[in-house]
Amino acid sequence: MDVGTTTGKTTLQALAARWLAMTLPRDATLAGQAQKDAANVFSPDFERFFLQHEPCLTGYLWRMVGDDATACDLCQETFIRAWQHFAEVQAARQPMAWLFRVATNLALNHLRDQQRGVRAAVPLGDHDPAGSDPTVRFVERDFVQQILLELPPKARALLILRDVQQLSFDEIASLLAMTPTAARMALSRARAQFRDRYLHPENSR
Amino acid sequence: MSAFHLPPCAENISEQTLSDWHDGLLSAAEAHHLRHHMERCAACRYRAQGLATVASTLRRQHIPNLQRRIWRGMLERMQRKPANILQRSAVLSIVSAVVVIALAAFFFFAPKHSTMPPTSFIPTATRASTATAQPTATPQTLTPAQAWGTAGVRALNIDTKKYFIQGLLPGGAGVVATTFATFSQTNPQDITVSVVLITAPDARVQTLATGHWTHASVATDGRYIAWVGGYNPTGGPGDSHQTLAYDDLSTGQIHTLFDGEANRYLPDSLVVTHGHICLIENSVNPPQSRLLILDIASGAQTTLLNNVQRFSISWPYVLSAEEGNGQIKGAPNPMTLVNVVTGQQRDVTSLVDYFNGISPNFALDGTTIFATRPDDTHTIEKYYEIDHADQPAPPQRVLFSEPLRSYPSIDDAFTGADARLLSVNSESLGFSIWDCVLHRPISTGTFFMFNNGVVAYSTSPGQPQTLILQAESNFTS
Repeated sequence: MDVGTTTGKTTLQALAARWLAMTLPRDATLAGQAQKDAANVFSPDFERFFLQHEPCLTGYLWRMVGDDATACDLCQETFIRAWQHFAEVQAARQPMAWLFRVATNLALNHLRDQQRGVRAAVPLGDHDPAGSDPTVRFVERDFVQQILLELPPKARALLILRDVQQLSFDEIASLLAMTPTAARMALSRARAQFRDRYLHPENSR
Repeated sequence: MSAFHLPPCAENISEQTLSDWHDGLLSAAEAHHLRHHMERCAACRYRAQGLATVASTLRRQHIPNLQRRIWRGMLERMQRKPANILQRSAVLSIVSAVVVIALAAFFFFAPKHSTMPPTSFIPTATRASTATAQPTATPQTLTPAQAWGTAGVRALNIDTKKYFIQGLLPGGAGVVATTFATFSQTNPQDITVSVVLITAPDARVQTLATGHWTHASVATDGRYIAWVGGYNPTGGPGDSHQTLAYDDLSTGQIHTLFDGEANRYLPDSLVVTHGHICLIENSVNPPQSRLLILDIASGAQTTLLNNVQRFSISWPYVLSAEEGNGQIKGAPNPMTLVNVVTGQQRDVTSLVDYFNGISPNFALDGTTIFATRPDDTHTIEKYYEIDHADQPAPPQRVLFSEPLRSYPSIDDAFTGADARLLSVNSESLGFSIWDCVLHRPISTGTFFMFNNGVVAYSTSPGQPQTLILQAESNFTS
């Protein structure tokens, strides 16, 4: 998915400043919004915005965190922040880029906090990705997710943002606070890692 | 055969180089060298093909539908949080009320020469302490999501009789279409056709190009919108022309790739995917129909196959049906599965049984082919799934059967497919979507298009102007 090109270099400090700007006025905004929208919690415009962007964002977050509940929480948080800054988001040239930025930060923070252990990829008996049996396909979803979760969070984000969401390297670099060159190199490693584990689970143990 | 059993690459081609190639980041010379190298190097071929597998595997991963749950959670959170804020506000209000009372007492008892009106403070404190906002109402509707009982849906009011929808933007962001800007039944020269971009949610129409054309096709991958427009009322040479152009949505710039003699390109073959324009180019002398793939970013153009009649593309794979050689009566047309990235080809003629004009229905999803084949009695048409057609002896199964009938349009009969969806036009413009995993139909409608992960349809024949756009991943049984 194209979310437009990012202008200017985005440093970690700039991201942090933006992050602070997003979080600081939150309570005041919420209180104000709550009064303003006592009747309708969200405006119809926001509803439309939500319906348009939610599937893509959920896809991203679900692949990043690997479970429904966490993906739900992070997606909710992203959209609530979007609601708090809806005027700014609507005015943005590419609202999806805004959402991806918030979602990426939330997901990486969550994964850093969790530091949870990930099970090593286990060969699924006679598992064969080429199998056409429906059951195997559902099993494969979990298998793919397991391999994704074995990757470091940033590598995972790179893979999803590039190979699923089809963002440009400039956009990805901006989201992950790295240079486009570093993003390319890291992505190359992530792809190779995923490929080898997917095609040869027996060798990744 | 796996990479672990292959001889290592003699040139030590790095993963980085292969990854860059996969992303189209190599120069034309480097890409040419690599392609040439891979013809000889099985290890690199294998690794490069694996990279394509990574992307297609991730994209095909089924994502659970969490939309209602997320929306409900957001409502609950919005209703919870103000209460917390108000609790804090209440504490603050008490403090400020005490301050205000103290100040009021001060002003009351203070010397009368003070210029500060004491009442100016009080209303503020009063307002703060009586704030009782407790949003309890649910949003007015979740329609059309509720109406269709599924998520990831949006409705776009488009007069589909005026605008001929030809492509969908990812994420339901809009559609690309053609429309008559001017129309004359008597003079073809008075006909002008516009290529338009119609964006959600308000169906805003933006004209990208207008020309004196008698035909026009448009396609998009979300980043680029390409079109072929042509004027050729007589079908022969003379005062006729054709234009191939594209709009880069990230810059808003339009680039013309070709503007010349008519009939050079087959308009209906136009596909835009992953930054590439794919279409069939005709030449009269020698008579040829070539499948061209143009890398928009680099401008590199490749002739993938010759004698191509139809093709289906699921990046980086192309399934192509070639012209029959006419030598063997009753023989199926040659069919080839090509990996565009690695250049690897596989003859799949025996798998598909594509007979020009009899049962010409096929669609590709990754390396899975969906195809139809009439049974021996030629009264029933069977719909097949052929999995992993790039492997030897791929498994295949019959998904379902339908009475063999004349379709309104050959192309409409099998417009698209992915791991779970299959479009089958039957009566008029009706369709059904088949869940290939659970083996049953999951949706029906009256207009259908599948493009860029979005399904567009209308379920209301009386209101063709309302187009429903739905993320294909949200179709669930």
